[in-house]
Amino acid sequence: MWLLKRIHTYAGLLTFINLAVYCVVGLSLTFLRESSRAPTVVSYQKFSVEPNLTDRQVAERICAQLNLSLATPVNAAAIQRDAANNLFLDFRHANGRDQVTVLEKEGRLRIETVRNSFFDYLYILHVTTAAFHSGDWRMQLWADYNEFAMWALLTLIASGFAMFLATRARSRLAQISLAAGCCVFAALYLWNR
Amino acid sequence: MYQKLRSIHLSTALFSMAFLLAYAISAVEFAHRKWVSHPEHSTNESRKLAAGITDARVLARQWRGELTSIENSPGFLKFQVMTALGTSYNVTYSIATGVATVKTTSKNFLTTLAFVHASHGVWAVVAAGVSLALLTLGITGLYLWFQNHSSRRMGSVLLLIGVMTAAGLIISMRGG
Repeated sequence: MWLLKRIHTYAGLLTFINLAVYCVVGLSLTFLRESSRAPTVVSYQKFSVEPNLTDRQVAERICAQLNLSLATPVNAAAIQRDAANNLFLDFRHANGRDQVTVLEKEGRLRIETVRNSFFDYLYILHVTTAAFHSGDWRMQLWADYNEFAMWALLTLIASGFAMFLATRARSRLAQISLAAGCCVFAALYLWNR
Repeated sequence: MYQKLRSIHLSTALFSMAFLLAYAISAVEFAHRKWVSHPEHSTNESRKLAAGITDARVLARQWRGELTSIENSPGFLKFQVMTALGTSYNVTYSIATGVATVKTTSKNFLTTLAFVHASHGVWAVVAAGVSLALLTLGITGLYLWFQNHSSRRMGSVLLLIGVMTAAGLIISMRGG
């Protein structure tokens, strides 16, 4: 019982921020679902394409120049050609989207940036788990930590329920709460199925 | 105060337990889709509806759910209605005769939990409620922990590690 309580407490404390992120995402999805998109910002940067580079190598150099480490490793789907056969790179990452047209003859990049709102950013973070492999060590660390938080949530539920059974199973309020919650869930599930 | 908050923590947790379990299990399912299979079960039936209807939106009222796709073919209307938990009704309606063949496809329990998580329809409101419950659990949980002197030191260390790691990463990555 002492061990269960410690596991429950420490799992919650270690993953407090992650659970807070889940809260914020759950609330923002409900109330901000129809929020408007940020405007697209168009900018240009000088960029010379070195000879004998593959499109992927060019994409990786552009990622480095634009500090888009969160968009690495470069997805194959991100490497495209536009109607004028210019290299077109569609970088999607937690902070939004950067669509880059490589104007090789002009020696510059045309960059269209759409920045995610903070809530959209948190939404992406909340779905990022260890199945995701990022070229940015911060995102990889977050993915692993978020995976841990996901399992910690299951641990919190299991340990909390075990503590209830061991010490408060006779509590009328607790029994009513459990029964009511299960009934509401079952009713919603059956009604919507 | 301690007893009151402890009761709030316990009753909130027990009331929302089924919902929290649904979200937690579906989170694992989303993250590791290859771990479990996703079988579907389909049935076919025929229904006689009024003939001559050319608006799928009128016909779709026979089924509860979202009208997700419509296809016009010569003499036929094909459309799909999907419920909030992923059950789909694929209907092929003959305009001339009014006969509709309905293919009903339902998902297994794990997949419906994923639909609960994805928050369509009333489940979007449920998500907000569960989020508030989780917030209540976090705040009351913090208080309950802090009142327990024996776990304060270790708990403080773990809380600090968690906050610095997670918050540090969130802030750092937001900067690009």
